[in-house]
Amino acid sequence: MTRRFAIAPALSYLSLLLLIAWTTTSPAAGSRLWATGGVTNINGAAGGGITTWAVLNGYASDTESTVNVAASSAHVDDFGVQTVSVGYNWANRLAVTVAQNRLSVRPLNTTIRQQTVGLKLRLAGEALYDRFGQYSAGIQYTHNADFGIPALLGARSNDGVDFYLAASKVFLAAVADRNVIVNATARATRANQLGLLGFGSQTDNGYDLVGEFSAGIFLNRRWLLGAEYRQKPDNLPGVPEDDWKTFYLVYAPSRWLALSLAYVDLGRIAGLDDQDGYFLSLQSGF
Amino acid sequence: MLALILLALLTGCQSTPASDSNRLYDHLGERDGISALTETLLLTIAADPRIADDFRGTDINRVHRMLTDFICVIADGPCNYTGDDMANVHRGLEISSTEFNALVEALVLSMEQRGIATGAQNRLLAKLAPLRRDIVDAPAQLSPELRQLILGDLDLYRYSAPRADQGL
Repeated sequence: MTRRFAIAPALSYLSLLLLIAWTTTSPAAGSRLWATGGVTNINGAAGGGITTWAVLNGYASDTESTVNVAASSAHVDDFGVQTVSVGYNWANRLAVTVAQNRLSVRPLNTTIRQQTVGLKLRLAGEALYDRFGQYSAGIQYTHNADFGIPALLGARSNDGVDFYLAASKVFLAAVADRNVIVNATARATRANQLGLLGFGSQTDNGYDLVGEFSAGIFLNRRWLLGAEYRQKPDNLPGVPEDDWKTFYLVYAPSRWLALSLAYVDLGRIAGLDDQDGYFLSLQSGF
Repeated sequence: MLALILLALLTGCQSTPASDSNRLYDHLGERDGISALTETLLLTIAADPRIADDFRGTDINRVHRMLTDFICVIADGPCNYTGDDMANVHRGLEISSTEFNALVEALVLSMEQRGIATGAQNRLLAKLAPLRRDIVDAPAQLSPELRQLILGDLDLYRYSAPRADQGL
């Protein structure tokens, strides 16, 4: 199947590039050490590509606040997911994020959109300097705007709330004198494929506790190489859902810019097997 | 008992003789290299509006010498640091995370500028990172009046008097 060049993501990339051009001339983008804010994940929260980390997006320290924007595009065999998001970090204490996902279902030539609003509160610690790392709690509300297909597949509701606890720790000079970041998150959720296929089902509407794990090694302060694993619930009868995995490479030449490229393995989605492909994201902060 | 075992383990780790070829001190270019690094660091700090003011009015030659000795000792070099510990040096200065991060950034940029390898940079950061808790928001010293009120003539805080001539 030939992949069409989509105009909407292209426009968002273009506007991001303009924004970057503008922001590189402005002085403030926070003070935390480069790449320690992670990148922006598919939910709009700071993390990897698919996992959420305890770090807050952007680089704001205790006396600062930062804003960052991100756009990403994932392409697997039969689906594409475009995400645009904005995040605000207040004093490295509270992060507010808004994200929009647009799932293209190529075999049906249709799209499913959803919006997510997230709050992440840093409870304690500092990922880089505290011996036991950083801990955050988060809440995430997602509204699925195109509930036709999810309803047909047996989803129960078109919106849902996730709760999570996340831990992150950077180990300095840990492996071959390179810095290593490790993250673990416990999430309570009813979402089917992050909400893109709705929430719960007629037979299973309870919360599942799932884990998200990731680790990465900083080759130097600009390059981060890592892998992620995200457990998912499996609520819809007859439409199995698999855990997601990625291998990612992040290039963050400055606080204003981070580029991520990942190989993603999303398993089975909506009855279609072996959905793997690539993920590309661009983030800018100021 | 557990504390004793932990202590034994910790000191055991610390007393492991570092092989000379992999001593951080050597990777930083010995004392001359560290001295050059400290000089670059102070210039970088002076150019950073977030922290330049923190060092205004200090005896910069003394800060340079003290900091060089401090890093030298931290890097297992044959130096003697005669200054106060980090908690006392920063007591009452109300250093914010932003200022601390700016200093770490200045250090990393200075190490890059001096051509210090990424691995050695990370090793120095790993040794300095635990000091953050002594530097950021170090508890303020009691005012002389309050101290007199609480402690009377006891001079327990004698050793924590802030030293105006020490910036770091």
